[in-house]
Amino acid sequence: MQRLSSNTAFVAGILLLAGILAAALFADALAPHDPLLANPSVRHLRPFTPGHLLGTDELGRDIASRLLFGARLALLVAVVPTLIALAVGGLIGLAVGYAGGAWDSVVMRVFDVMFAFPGILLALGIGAALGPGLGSMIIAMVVVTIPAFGRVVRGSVLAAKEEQYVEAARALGYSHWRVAMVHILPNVLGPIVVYATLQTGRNVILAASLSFLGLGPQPPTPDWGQMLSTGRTALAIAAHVATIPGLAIMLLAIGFNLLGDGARDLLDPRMKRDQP
Amino acid sequence: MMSFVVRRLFQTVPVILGVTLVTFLLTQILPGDLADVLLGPAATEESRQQLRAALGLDRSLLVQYATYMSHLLSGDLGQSLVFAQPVATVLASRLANTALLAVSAIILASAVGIAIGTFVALKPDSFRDYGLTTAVLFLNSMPPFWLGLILILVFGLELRWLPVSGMDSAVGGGGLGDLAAHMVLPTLTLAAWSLAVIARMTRSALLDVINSDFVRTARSRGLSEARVILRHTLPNAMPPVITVIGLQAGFLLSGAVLTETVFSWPGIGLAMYQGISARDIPFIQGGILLLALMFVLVNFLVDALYAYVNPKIELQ
Amino acid sequence: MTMAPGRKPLLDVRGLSVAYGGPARQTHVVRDVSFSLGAGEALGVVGESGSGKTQTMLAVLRLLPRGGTVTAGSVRLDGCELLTLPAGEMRHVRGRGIAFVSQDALSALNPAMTVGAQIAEPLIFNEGMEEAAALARSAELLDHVGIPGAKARLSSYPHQLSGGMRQRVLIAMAISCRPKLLIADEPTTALDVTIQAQILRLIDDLRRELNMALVLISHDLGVVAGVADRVAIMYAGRIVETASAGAVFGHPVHPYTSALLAAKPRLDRPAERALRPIPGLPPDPAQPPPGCAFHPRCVHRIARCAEELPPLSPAGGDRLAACWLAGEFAESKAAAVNGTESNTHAGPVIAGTGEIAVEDLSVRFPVRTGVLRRVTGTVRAVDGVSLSIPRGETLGLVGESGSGKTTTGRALLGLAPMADGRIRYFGRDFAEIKNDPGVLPRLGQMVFQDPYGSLNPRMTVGAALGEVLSVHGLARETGVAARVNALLDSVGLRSEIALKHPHELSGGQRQRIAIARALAIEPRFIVCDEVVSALDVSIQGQIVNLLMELQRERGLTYLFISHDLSVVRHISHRIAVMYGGKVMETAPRNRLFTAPRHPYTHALLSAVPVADPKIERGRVRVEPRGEPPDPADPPPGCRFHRSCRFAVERCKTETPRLERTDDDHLVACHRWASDEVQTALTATAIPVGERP
Repeated sequence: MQRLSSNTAFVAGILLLAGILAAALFADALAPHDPLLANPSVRHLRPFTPGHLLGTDELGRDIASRLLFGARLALLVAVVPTLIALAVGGLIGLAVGYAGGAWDSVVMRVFDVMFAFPGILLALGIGAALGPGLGSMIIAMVVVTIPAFGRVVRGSVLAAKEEQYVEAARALGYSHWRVAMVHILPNVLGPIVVYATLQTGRNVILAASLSFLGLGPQPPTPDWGQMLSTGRTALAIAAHVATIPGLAIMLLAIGFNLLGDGARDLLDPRMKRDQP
Repeated sequence: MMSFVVRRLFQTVPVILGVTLVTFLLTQILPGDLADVLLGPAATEESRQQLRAALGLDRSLLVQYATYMSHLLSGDLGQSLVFAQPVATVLASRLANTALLAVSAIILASAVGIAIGTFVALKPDSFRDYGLTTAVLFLNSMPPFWLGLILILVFGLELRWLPVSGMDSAVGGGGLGDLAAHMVLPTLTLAAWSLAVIARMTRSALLDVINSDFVRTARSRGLSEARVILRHTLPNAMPPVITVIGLQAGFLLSGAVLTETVFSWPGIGLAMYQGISARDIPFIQGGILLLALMFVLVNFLVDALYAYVNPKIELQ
Repeated sequence: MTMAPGRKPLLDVRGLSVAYGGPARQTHVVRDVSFSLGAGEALGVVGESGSGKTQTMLAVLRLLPRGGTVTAGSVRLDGCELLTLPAGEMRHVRGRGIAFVSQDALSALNPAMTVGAQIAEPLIFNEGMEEAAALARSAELLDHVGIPGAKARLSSYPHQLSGGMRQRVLIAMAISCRPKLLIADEPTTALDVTIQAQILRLIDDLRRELNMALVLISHDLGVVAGVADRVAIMYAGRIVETASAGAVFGHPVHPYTSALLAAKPRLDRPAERALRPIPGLPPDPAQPPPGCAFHPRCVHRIARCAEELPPLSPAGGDRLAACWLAGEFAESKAAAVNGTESNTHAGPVIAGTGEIAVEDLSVRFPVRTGVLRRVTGTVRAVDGVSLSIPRGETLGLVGESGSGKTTTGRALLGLAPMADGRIRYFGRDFAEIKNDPGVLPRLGQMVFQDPYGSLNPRMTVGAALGEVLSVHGLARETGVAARVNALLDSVGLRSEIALKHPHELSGGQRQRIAIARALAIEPRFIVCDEVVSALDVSIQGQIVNLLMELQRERGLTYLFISHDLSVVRHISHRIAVMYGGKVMETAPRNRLFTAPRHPYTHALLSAVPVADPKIERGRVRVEPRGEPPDPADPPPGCRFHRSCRFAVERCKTETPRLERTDDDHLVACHRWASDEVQTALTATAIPVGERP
């Protein structure tokens, strides 16, 4: 039952993400209009208006087209920071976790300081300091997520180091490199991949939040967070301009969360569920 | 337990120093420097140089940090561009509003989250369990400001039940009832994410404990189900939940920026949003520092509470 | 079932079946179990893991974990059916009618409540006592179960007590409402042998004193032998034999019972007797074999055994047995067991050149406390240990938890930091070779306790064995598969196993793989650290026999670390006894068991249970006082002096050195030669089997 339902979650997550990926890849072919083309004569059209399936925004741009092109950006800002932070944080975590000692303490204290900044605050500060834009947003996201990856990898490595098979490998005269790469890394990979998937889901929200605060890609780039932010001003007269991009953000995040939860249960049913 | 608390207090000091260092470093990653930001593109090179000298930007990094720290200790966080007042003054005037929102949200999230988590854990794999799993999935995949907009749309604009902006009504406002009405939607918005996380953690922590040997021991001695749950299960399930609540306090402090913006709630978060649009770096710096220090304080309190709940901690 | 006629049963269980999983895929773990128990009677329930013994008793208490249901049967206590009792009334049965003591006292006690609050709880809320009176009664109960300073202990939390103390607290809780029946589930399995003896005696005393009936669940026949009036043997969810303790141990009828008795080495039998492990594996509860579940492993099986399930039926006297051949076995002496008699040790096969010699080995671990994690103390895990193992022999290293035996073994392979001392490895100095990954691993290898943890879960058996060969350049690319097959063959496994992952194997198979991996490198010396303690009794013998066979074939030298004295006695040539990080005594195997010189050895030996009720009941046990020393703060002088009956002033200040008593027998005791000790040790001699 448990396995079946996590399987369903996994498959649902894959389908959802595949759909969004297809929309992003084929946006040129699928989009009925130019996402940047303003048309003041058709401002704030309701959804299901012929020609504008999801209506138009405050400048008369086609929302469906903007969503399709925005999917590219949304996937990019979710996945790229995850991959960079995973690579950097993961290597740091593996190195200090395996070696231990003074380096481990120093790196952990640095991470402690980074964790002292709640939620999006540090990203907000870095974004504001660097100035708004896609590049600084990605830098901000990478910097604030490195400590989390570092800690997760280090924790798994520390746990794996205590395993008897690691001590057995040492007794067999294997080199440190072999022990770390052949005996520890493959055994910690599963939880780390799961964590990275869930972090990608959180990155969707983080990126949307930074965009919403005006720190992301600037207009007229079709960006979901920014679409939501500008649509907010006309909430009373054309609610769909703000609510539809929000729905898109949520679907993307749900996709990654389903994938991550499903993978977690599939990879190791005994692994503790429901870690925050 | 006391020794643990004291030890924990000592661990906090380097973290606070690190936090000030990071907020200080924010001004170092600016394209150009602080003088460029403060004066804007129109200023002459001469006035820039003057300001640089006045701010000590021509000195070494170490000296600048020392200056920053000495100002900090005397309560000087610099001058805000947007508000044309000392940063500290603006923050002080808005701290209470943000705290009000954050505290009511954490209380709501903890109380309702623990209650729902317990309710679900008593019947795992039931309809209500799947309901919770689904609700958590949706709440944790939702941009928090979007939830705010939906609430405004439904309860403010459609049903017209609740006010959607600010802290009090312009006409006939004031009074506790009016404040409470204004608080409902922002508090709900802010609490939703944390509530989901806390409910999920409570559920899994309780399920871990419910299957433990000592709960079986309690049952085998004929104790009532209420005692088994309230005296044996819940207290032992609390430590991980308390940890999560502590972490959520951080999300609430930062989530305030988004929520206050959506609801125009006159707190630190809204001011920071205004600061971002105007590149008011000194104010953003000060706001981040204050919220981070509050988070450090909350975490310290949470650990002290943790030590109180968990007698084993003394041994570590 | 069996009960003295004329007595009304206290507990009467009929046709009880327990299953897990939904109706579609049900797995029965208890099948049609019936037994009854008179007031004050003690029943021992014995079986290996998965035999259903614990599940049966949890079903009686209606405390099955989630997913478990009783699918058939009835449970009556004093004639009252428990299975259909409303939940509220069932609560009144628990604690007052039936009390429960479980295995691991640390997890069975609420970590966030004081001992006093936990004991007093049902007194206050079920019996309606005043809080002060309930606490006073709790102190009485603690005193009753032998906890010194009972009143002060009321405010302790469970983690502040030792393992033995916690088990006593759990027992005090169980008897707090004067139950008619006490169910004790492996109450001593997690404890050291001297503590085990104390707890078993306590349970036995209490049941007589309070006239409680007792169900004692154990995997260890020896534990049951001393306490139970009657014994039930379970296999694959069914009772296969039940009778009075004397009849079961003296004249077992079911082939499984006799096989179980023969599978484990016993202190009351000559050490030279061969172990006769039960071949094969216990059945998978989801797919038990048809007919008698034991038939695939049974040497006496006939065609009928595979087709028809033998019912549990009378087999003479008060005995019931579930075997088609029970009638024959009941008349003959006993069901003969598998295997042939063979001498275990013919002495060292290869005349020893070189040896492992350890002089004054010390291992210390720093204790860090405070904000800055400063080193504030040292745990002296191993403190000046000297040993020597002639080539081709086995040195058994015994001791209780915390005695430093495992750390000693790890230090010998460079896995624990050596603070002091010298080790000579077949003529080479350990200091020179310990950092050379090409040398030390090829001299000494280790087989670990936990067969589940010591193999990399992501590697197939073939990959794991192949890795050793290729890292050490022991086989060319093309030869690896052939060498892997040869290694598997040498540990009695088929070559198909090479393709499997560890989780697809049984515990015994994994331990064989771990042995094969250690052998791959062709070491001369192997440290075996508790290699059989995680395995079922019927499998333990297979591994022990394998190790001894490999030693004979290859002239291997073993350090065999174990807390199980009977296994150590079986496999070792010489035995060293450790206590508090020091060696107390070392002697040739038979000498140590027949003529121990150290009071601690003597206490240890006297605590080992023997699977014979006649011996068990007649035994005089020597119980050491108090608890083993804290390795972070060891007492001055002899480590054992606080627990020793013979300690004098000198023992408190001066640490005794190992001295020779006769040739080859060393003892670290100031008083071993005194008349007092000599007489006392002889007077309470243990009925240890000697050479026939």
